[in-house]
Amino acid sequence: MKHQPPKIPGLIFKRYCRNELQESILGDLHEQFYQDIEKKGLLKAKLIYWFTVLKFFNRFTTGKKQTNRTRNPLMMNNYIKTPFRFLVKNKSYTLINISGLSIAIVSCLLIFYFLHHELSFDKQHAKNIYRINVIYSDNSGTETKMTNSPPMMAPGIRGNYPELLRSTQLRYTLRATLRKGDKVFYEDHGFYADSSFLEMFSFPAISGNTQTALDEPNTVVITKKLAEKYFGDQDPMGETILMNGEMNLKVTAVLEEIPTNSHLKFDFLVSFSSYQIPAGYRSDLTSWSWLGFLTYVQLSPDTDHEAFQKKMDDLFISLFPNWETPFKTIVQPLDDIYLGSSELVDDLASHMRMGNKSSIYSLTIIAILILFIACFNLVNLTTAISLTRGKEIGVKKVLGIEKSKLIGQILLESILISCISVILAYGIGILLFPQIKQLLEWDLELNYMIILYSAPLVLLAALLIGIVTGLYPSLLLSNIKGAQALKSGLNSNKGSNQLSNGLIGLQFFIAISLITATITIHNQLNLLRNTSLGIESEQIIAMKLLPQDMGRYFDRFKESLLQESQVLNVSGSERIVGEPWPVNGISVVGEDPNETKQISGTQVSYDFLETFEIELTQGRTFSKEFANDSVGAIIINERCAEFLGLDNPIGTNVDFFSLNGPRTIVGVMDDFNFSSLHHEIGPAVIILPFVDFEHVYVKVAPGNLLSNLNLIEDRWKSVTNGAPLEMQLMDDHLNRLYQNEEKLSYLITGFSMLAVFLSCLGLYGLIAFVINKKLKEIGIRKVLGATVSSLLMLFSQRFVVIVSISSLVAAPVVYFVMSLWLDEFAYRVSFSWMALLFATLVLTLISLLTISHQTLRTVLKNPVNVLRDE
Amino acid sequence: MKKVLGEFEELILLLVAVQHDQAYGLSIKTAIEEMGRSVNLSNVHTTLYRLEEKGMVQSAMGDSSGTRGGRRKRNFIITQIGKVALKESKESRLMLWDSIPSLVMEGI
Repeated sequence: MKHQPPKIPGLIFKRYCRNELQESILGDLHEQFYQDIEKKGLLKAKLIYWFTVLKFFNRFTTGKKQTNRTRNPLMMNNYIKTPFRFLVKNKSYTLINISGLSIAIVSCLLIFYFLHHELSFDKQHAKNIYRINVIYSDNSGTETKMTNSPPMMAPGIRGNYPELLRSTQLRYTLRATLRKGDKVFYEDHGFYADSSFLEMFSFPAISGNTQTALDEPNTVVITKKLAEKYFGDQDPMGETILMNGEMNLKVTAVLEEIPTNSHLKFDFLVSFSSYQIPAGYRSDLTSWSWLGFLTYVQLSPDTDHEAFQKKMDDLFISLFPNWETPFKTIVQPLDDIYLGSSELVDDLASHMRMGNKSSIYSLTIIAILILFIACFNLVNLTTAISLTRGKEIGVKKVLGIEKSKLIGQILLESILISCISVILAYGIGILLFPQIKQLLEWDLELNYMIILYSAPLVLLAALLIGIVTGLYPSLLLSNIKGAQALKSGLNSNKGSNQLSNGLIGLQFFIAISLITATITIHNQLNLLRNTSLGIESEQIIAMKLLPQDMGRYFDRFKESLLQESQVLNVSGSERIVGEPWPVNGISVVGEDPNETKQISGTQVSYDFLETFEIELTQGRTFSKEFANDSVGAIIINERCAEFLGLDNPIGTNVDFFSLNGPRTIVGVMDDFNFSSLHHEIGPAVIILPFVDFEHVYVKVAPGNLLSNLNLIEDRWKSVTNGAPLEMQLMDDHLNRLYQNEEKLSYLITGFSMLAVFLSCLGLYGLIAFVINKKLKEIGIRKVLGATVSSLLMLFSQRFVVIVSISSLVAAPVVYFVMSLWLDEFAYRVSFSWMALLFATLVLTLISLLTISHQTLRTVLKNPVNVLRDE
Repeated sequence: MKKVLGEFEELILLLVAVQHDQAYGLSIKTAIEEMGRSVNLSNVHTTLYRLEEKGMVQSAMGDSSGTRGGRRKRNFIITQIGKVALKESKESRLMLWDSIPSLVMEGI
């Protein structure tokens, strides 16, 4: 007996093995060890000992002693059945909760679907693509950030920087006609681009080689949509298409449809080498100062784009050593362009999509608030209804239900509610999507894959909602003493009352804030709609036409229109009124040429001021009697006279950036707002057109609008032999400038109504339970002579107090947030405290109505019926 | 619920019955090894516990004879359920044996 079994495995075994099995097993191991020594030798015996101890590790040796654990499948069934039974039994509770929660979840799903789209922009392309934006500043130091850059930018830097892999540039096409056979349409969205554009960006092609497609002049790359539109079932590859009736373009590639989450919006790309500078422009493609192109660069991965930006800044300093304030640049990452460009000015708005960060933030906040309201309802109602479950809980407790099981059961109920709501919400969301999309003009499609992928996440969220909302009531119930619950029923304790007061208060707070925000936004929109821009836009019909048509037909068209008695005036302009005008440098001839100032200017045809009824304060308007006007005259506004420091501006010669030779100021016009009321009126000039323009305005006498429109179309067709045209009312166009605000106002109105509805739904349910508990109290009070109105008071005062407190808390918050929003406008209403008061009153009224509807039903009952059964 | 016996379970249960009142973990393991089949002690114990869980055997602490460092044995005896299970198993085997055509087993 000199050998002993190894000690370590014995110790390990003692650690894990259940006490009652230890002795016999260790004994067997011991005995086996000595047998093995004799049969197999010491070493092997030890090894077997070790091995066996490790193999003993299983559920029999480790598990706790299993007493009491019911693995009865019948009971399991019961745990699942009771929550269902409970939900079916309390129909109004279930209905209120599920409808409220699913409405909230639908809102969230729709909002998050939209946000997902907003955040997905330009993700399909390489990560290391940047846009070079140019900042110019005038002598006063005012900076204007442009999305644009000069035409030399892309070719000029190519090959000069080791980190620069590729550079490319785009120039927008104005409205163009494309013709194939007898099919001719206007196309608004096109770019001139070279091959490196398609090398850099990953727009998948259906046919053709995108790497070389745009190498040769007179080639065009079209999207699938255009291919179908012009070629139908035919293969468009190698076919030619006629652009603007003068340029034959060969189709060299067809692209897949450009996704809606791309900041660039185009249907076709024309080879850059076919681009011709419009007649009259002083600049050419070797210019480093004409800000009219989009430049994209691809840098080698891991390049610090801010260091590259510094190099670009240095480049401009070296190019223009004499400029006091040289161009600066912003090298903007591609995935920042869609949402991060709101400070940038771009003059190709129709070719780009631009997102709005603040609307994303506000939508996220709204979604969360709505969800909160619905969750608060769930918590309040579950807590309230638990008080009616005294008997059930009491019996369960007395029969010895484990606390954890009771908690689990109540949690299961709320999880069930949230899961049912989520499934309902998915269905409703998919059904409602087309309507919502139309209402808010969302530029996105329903993608079932995303819905499928998000499903686990959403279900997880449902689980979380269920647990969070069920936690408090379940803890409350599980802590109740069984016998007590059976004996006297449950009474609401102070804690649960305070909680529900707090949650109701929060709901009211959210609702009041949203209503106030709605009213403020509405006020501001009204101000924008009703404030005059300083021009007369009524009875003006605006048309958008092809620039070359305009050159050919405008004079004859105008002449034929003016013969009609209804037509009062006809004019045209390069930029439509209501959109920002291009900014250029101006300087007074004879003064220091470095004293160039930046002002907005556009080209207008004769009779522009008359058409829009803009007054002249000095001098005269453009006139055909002065032959020199079209090349030598300029009209400035009062702001501009001030800006240039001219006391007596008439007759002064000024140098206007993009024109050949100086111009003489012939008139000073009243200040009018040529863009929108987001902006203050700035210094501005107008000149007669030197390029073909696109916009025509016809002022008609008041009368039958339709006949006027028909007349204009008729005249246009007869002058041009049937060229197409588009018309809109100037007023409609100007109202559309505030589209973003209008959409926001729709959204907030909708959601605040939802918030109010959900809050009241919760209130309604809560009151129902509270009153149910107090039936006897009401009965006794009535017997003792309480009046209906005093009973109503009794139940309402709690909520009136809560509404008042909520509105007090909401006041500073709403004031702060709405002031921030209003500050975006140059013309703004002041925050209206009346709106807050109104919101509070409305909410008080609605909640009182809710309460009294419930209360009256009970109060009007005969107290005998309530008190009899005791 | 019908309790099904596995092959190894049946073997162990048989040995518990064979070594009536003297059966414990190591004795059964030794018996199996004598039949020319190698097995780990832990497997024997685990199976015994499983049988106990199914109610086919019962255990009780016994004596501490042998080189066990004074530790007692856990003795197993077969219960009524165990006996019925063994009997059913045997009968079903026999029934199958009886229905083998004589021709198949010829020459063994």
